[in-house]
Amino acid sequence: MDAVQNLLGGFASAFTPMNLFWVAVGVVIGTLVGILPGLGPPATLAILLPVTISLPPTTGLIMMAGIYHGAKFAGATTSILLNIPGETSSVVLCLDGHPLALKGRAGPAMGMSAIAGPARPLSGVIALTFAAPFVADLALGFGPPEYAALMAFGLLLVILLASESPIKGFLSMCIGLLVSTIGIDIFTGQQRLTFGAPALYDGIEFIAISVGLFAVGEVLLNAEKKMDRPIFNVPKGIRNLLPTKADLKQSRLAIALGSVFGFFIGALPGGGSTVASFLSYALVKKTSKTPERFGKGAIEGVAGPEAANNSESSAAMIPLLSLGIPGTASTAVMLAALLLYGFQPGPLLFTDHPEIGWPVIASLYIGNVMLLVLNLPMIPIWVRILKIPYWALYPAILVLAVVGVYSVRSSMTDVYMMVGFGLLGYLFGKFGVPAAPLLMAFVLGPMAENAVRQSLVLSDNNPLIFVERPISATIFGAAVLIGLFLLVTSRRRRSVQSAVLAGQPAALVEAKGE
Amino acid sequence: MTQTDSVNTGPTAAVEESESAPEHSVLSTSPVAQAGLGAVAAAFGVIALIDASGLDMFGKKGVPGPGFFPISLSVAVIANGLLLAAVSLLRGLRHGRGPAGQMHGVAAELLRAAGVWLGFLIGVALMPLIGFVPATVVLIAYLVFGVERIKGIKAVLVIIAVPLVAYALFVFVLGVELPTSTLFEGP
Amino acid sequence: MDTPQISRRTMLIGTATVFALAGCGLQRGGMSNGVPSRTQVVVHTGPGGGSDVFARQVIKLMQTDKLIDENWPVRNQTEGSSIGAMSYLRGRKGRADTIAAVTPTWLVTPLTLSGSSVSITELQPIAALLVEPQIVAVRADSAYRTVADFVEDARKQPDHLVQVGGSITATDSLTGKALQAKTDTQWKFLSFSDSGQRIASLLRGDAQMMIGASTDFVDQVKVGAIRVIATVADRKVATFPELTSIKAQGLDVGPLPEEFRGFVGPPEMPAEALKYYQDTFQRLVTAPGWDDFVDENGSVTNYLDAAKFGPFLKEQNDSLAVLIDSIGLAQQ
Repeated sequence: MDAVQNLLGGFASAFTPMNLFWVAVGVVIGTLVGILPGLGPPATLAILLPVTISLPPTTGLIMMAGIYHGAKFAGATTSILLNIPGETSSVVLCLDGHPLALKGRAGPAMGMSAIAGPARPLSGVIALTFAAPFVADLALGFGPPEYAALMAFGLLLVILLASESPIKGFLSMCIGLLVSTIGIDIFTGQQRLTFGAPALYDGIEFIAISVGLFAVGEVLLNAEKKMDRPIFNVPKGIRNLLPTKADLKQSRLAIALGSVFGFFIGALPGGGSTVASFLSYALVKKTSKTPERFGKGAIEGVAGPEAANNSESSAAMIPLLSLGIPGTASTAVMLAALLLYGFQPGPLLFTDHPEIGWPVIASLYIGNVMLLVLNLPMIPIWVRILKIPYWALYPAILVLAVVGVYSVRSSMTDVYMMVGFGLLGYLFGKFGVPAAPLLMAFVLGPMAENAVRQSLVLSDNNPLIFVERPISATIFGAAVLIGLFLLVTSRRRRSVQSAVLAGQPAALVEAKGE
Repeated sequence: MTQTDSVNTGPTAAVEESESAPEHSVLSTSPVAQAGLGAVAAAFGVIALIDASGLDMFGKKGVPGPGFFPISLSVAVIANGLLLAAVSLLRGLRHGRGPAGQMHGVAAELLRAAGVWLGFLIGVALMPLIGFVPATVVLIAYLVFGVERIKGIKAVLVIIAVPLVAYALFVFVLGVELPTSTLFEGP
Repeated sequence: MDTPQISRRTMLIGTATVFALAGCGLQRGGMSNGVPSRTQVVVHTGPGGGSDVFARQVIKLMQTDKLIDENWPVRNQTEGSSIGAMSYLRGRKGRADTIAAVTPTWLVTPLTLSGSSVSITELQPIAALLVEPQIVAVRADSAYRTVADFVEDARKQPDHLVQVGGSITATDSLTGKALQAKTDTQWKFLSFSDSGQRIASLLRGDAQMMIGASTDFVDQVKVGAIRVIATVADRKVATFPELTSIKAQGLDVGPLPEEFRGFVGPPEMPAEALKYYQDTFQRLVTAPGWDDFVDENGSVTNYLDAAKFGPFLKEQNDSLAVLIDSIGLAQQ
């Protein structure tokens, strides 16, 4: 079939020694630059744009794929090792990846993060090539009501995520939603909750919140006690530095779920990698038989989101290459690169310039594999970082946090925000308020609000629009059903939790024995 | 971040806990503390509500206006905060306050963390004034000498090396902007 | 013990080194007879955004035409939709090594903010390079063949038709508002921050009309999904040469906002630097390769030197102020 032939042709042309060399260089540089929190794939790609542009188009784009994967992996590294979310899609990795590191399983966590992508069955490749036109149509059919439904589903998952302490989880989520409204309203141009400060016109920068809440918050929590020894256990032996067979087996379902979910979300314009990773984390946790392990170091909590991230990046290419619509910030930079090369991405790119389109898709996979080859052996070295005594490590973390946040918009306000959210993260930790719902709500909030308002503008304020349109009705229906199902099944666990909250030792013993 | 095991915290339990997750703290179950948390949250909600009330709740034809979500959300935060306060107080009344001795170590811990945070804040504030590298040196020196009380050549090495390496790596190699000092910049 | 003494001395040496090094992180790139070797170009969008891509394209062209030797870095100062960029530029008063790429956003944002502390009048205009003519587009199977058709339909169904675009203060929205005001009609405006979603809306039928730049529509027109029906301004556009303007279609609505792109510099910019930049840009627009670049992007060259750019900006500002007022956003 045409598509297969083209794809194979793409692989062939991508597989030249020069391209392989540059993709390797891309992976290495991407990893090095991407280590800086705040410099996620989009910013890394932008910084290295002058370099990639100087190469011939196919090679340059392939190198960009390498940089992209390298930067993503670097983001995962800092999240897992230091609880510093490198960029939006790696925030989720802090939730289970970092606890894994604290338990001495940093290596397996990082390895799983690198492997989860290519570990997907080849169906991913096939899905991309054959499903592309179908998915593109579906993406086109996704209007405001459909987005609203999807966001409702997402927020539902976020609420359910915090089932351990529902009131506090809900509080965290509401604060996140409230904070996300800060800025200039796109519909009316009015300022909301900015208190007259120009720095807040565009809203609060995501990286300031995530780095503050997670990285700085954790540092402050650790700083309570004098720490002159490493707080991490670093096991010896190479075997402990990679995921075990048991890990892989355990994560099978998570990887599958994550891949499928990530694929669909990634194909939607504006879907974004954050949403894909957040939602697959919530989904994996909720469909697991042992959800209480999540948040304390469940390997599936790393595998699922990472698989989603990987699918999402390939899926994001679909709207870019077929409709000329970038799905995520990284693809927006690639779009810029294509423009600088003189190519107009759009439906005609594949027909007018097949020598660009197909190798680019092939390069996503090549980049992924190259990442595995180059970075897996490096994991032991990365893990060594944890051996540094904490008193030396945490000032470095704070400095890294400042540089990372400042580098996003050259804004000192962002840095102050980060410091402030660091305090909040510390207080949240002390008072037992989960931080993840705040962050997830902060990301989903604007999308949800915009989608709802746009839908109502379209329908002249008729709420039936959400059920009149087929796709939207389906998603809402599914959300309601899944929500009810999960609510009912988790009720059993909930009663144990509330006994624990009440501080009754007897119930506590029962809980531990469960 | 769950609270399953935090009932029996005390200084010794805290040390064991610290290996896996140092956030388990007595504050997360103490009814008074939780009630305080609820009250503070509600207060924030009120501030937000006051600021957002200037916006229109509804636009043309009753479509949600710019104020709809901010106002509803601030109300939600207030309600949530009050609910939390109420539930915690009820629980406190029913089960009595936790063992008094636990609060002992808490003050020292809070002070230490506060010291680090204040140092951080001041360090950041210094950056636009005296430049990134000097401010970072001051910050790390404060943390290493002042807070952690580490002495010796290793300490000095860290204090000097981290800012310089950061500067060299990010400014020269990556071309990333770092806060520069207005004092030195000049016209 | 020796340790405290060593620490103190090392500290002193260390601190001295550190201060010395900090001093060098300031002015990178020197000058020779008023010509900076490396200029920083400030843009108010993030990487991949409109101004960012434009600035990079211009820099690349200047390098290809050998007008500049060094690679000029682009600085994304996205705070406050141009307020941050303007403040930053104002803070570089008197320097020759920073310029910024401007668009109408730099005029509009201060107009919508009360007590805005910075305005473009404080900055030194260098040159305008081009305008991006706005095009009116509809879905290919739509019944509208001219803008007059659309306006007629809007008159019959007040506040029912939908125009899709970006932020409400963006040029396309303001143009739509101006059209409504001048023709006494009303239609709805749907905002999407993501440009891809705007096109998708149009294709899906959620919106009936969209105003945008040629680049937004070119490919969709080629595959026959979208039809372009008019240019907003009274200019011919290379990408769609057969298009007529709104005015030619019988709707004489007076001047409408234009999406222009140019460069400004900090206040009190040294005269030699200003001359240098002006000359460079002038050579750029007359060099080979410029016309192709402009045509490919569906833009139209509109070179205005510093003396003319200033009054142009003022004129645009005045007409925008009226429009902003009409949508109730003046001095929020």
